[in-house]
Amino acid sequence: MSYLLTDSKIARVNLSTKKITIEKINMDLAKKYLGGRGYGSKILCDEIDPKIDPLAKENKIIFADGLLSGSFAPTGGRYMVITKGLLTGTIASSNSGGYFGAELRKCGFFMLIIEGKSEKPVYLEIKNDEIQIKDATDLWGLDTSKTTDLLKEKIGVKTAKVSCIGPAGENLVKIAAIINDKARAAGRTGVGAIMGSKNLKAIVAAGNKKIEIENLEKFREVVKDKIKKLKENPVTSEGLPTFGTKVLDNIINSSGMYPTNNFQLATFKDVDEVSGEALVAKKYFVKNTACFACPIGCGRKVVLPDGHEGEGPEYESGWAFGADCGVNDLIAITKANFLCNELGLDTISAGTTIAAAMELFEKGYIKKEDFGDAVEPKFGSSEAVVYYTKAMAYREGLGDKMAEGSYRMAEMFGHPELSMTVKKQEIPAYDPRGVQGQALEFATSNRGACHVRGYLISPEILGLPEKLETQTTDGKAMWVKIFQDLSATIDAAGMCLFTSFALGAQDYAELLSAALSWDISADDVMKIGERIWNLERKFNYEAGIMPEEDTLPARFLKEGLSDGPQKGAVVKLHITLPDYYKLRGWNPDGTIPESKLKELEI
Amino acid sequence: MIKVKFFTLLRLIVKIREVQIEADNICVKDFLPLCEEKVKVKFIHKLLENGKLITGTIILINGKNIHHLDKEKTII
Ligand code: SF4
Repeated sequence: MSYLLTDSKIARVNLSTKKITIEKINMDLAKKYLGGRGYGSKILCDEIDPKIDPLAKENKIIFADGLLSGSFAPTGGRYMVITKGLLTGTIASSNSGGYFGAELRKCGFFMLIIEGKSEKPVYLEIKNDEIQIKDATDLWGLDTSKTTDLLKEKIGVKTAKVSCIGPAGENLVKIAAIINDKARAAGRTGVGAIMGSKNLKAIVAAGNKKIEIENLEKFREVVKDKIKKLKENPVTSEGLPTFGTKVLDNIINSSGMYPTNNFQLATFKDVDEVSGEALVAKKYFVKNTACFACPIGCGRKVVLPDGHEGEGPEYESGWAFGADCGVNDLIAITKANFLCNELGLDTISAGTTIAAAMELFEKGYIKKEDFGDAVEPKFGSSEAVVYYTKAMAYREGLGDKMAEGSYRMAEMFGHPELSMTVKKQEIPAYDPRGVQGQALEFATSNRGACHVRGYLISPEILGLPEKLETQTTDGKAMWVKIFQDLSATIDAAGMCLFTSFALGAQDYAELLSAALSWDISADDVMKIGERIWNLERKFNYEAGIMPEEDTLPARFLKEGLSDGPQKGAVVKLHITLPDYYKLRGWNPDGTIPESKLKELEI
Repeated sequence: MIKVKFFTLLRLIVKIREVQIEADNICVKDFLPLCEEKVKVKFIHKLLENGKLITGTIILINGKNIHHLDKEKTII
């Protein structure tokens, strides 16, 4: 038996000294930051110098459960990986679902703080309270699927859960992901490379502690109410379960903001070949899958005609290898997605880096001698997306430059302006020119361009909770702040962002209050999110990421959309950004005043 | 002639990708029954409740969301 919060522990594992220490949760910190992205970021900010080289042994990598992870709160099984990122140089925190986060809690752990660097490959074996650092020489070089199977065998528990890196993380690929449960990814910001730099191949966890809730009856009642809301909402009850996130392909394309050929076009003529509807119609989609305690089940089990099976592609992944590379071959797109899971790569950054290489090639900046006898990186080539995904993970040929992410690659070829990135992280599947709020969110996201730091597509395109006009700038700063702060709290709570289609701050407050017997209001939920946001921003500033980087590639600010219903639109950051700084209570130059830090007790 | 493309859940319900319907100068609310008639499947209840757009319904006319035009009274 283990009470959700009071009995969970923090394990500090030093890979240099091999010393493992167990600490108690600091309740004051938990109340101020919750868990996951909140508590974990606080530890990172307090314990490392923001200026360090991300690959230095002084960098730490923290696996942090949300406060509700492991409980039966709807979708309450998520964990966060927090570190200083190699791709962006910002604070990097990457969220993942599946079952690993909940298993960690079943072992009695709320957080693992990994320090130092092992001289040779190791993995962590966690069996309930017992943690051991074990030799991983035989695992090094294996893909994530084989690593997972082998570690389950080694620990001798069939239900054990594994979080690991593939060859991409080992090879310090800057867009490497950490994969758990074979197909769930802490995908963005290159967290896999930090794990690789510490020679930490994997963590396997097997726990059987029953997680207790103090006021079980009350919690049950609140959970029931939230599940009812999720079941009544059209997106969480029908859209996501039926099509997964790929419900969006046709909607975004018809709205004229489906980036095509490295964001040169805003609509893709072959969308019908690659959409979520096509995945179902072509019968590749087999069944839904769900993460721990999730009543939505947006995951897709897919089997290709050649028998190759796996999960995905999600909307972002399908788009990155599809429209953004001009590829209309759903099989190649799905294969590239599977490869990312197996080799441990972020699908968004991998696909969009290939797309940037394709534009560099199209414009003559990448030449034949740059790739030799390998596949031509040209728009529309299915062969290229599969080939270069693998080449990136193994740093082979042109893939070695791609492994640096699109910004550094484009810079090497003398044209960084062709990298569609913010703070060196690749922009996801929505042309910012088509959505002024999401554009502002991309520009100000604390970990580089990211849609899950604030999903403004929800109000601007899907009309949830209310429909906002895409091109208006009025009020967008306020919506961005609300979505960013709320998302930070959802991450810290250990729940899935998709619940926010149906739930609001009051709902999360009720769930947290009932689970922890605390008294948290909707205002507290928003305040905690704001605190996390400002803490991350402070870290970035101290790391040398200046407010001038709150911007977008020139393409979005100067060149109007070339086609589609929003033709001619550009991002009006000159209007929304000053509004945003003001609303956040920051100085006009984007720095955080002392008074704000004091107000938020940072 | 108005071309109608069905996406996501509606495509699963009507089992058709697109239809063409002879109509002119007609508002969305009056046009939807013509669509139902053409595809021979009832689906309007998924889009409208008491004649008003349900929150989250997306109807685009040439890429523009009718929420920002005249809602269900938008002339096609
Ligand atoms: S909605 Fe999807 S991603 Fe979120 S917890 Fe459920 S299955 Fe996982």
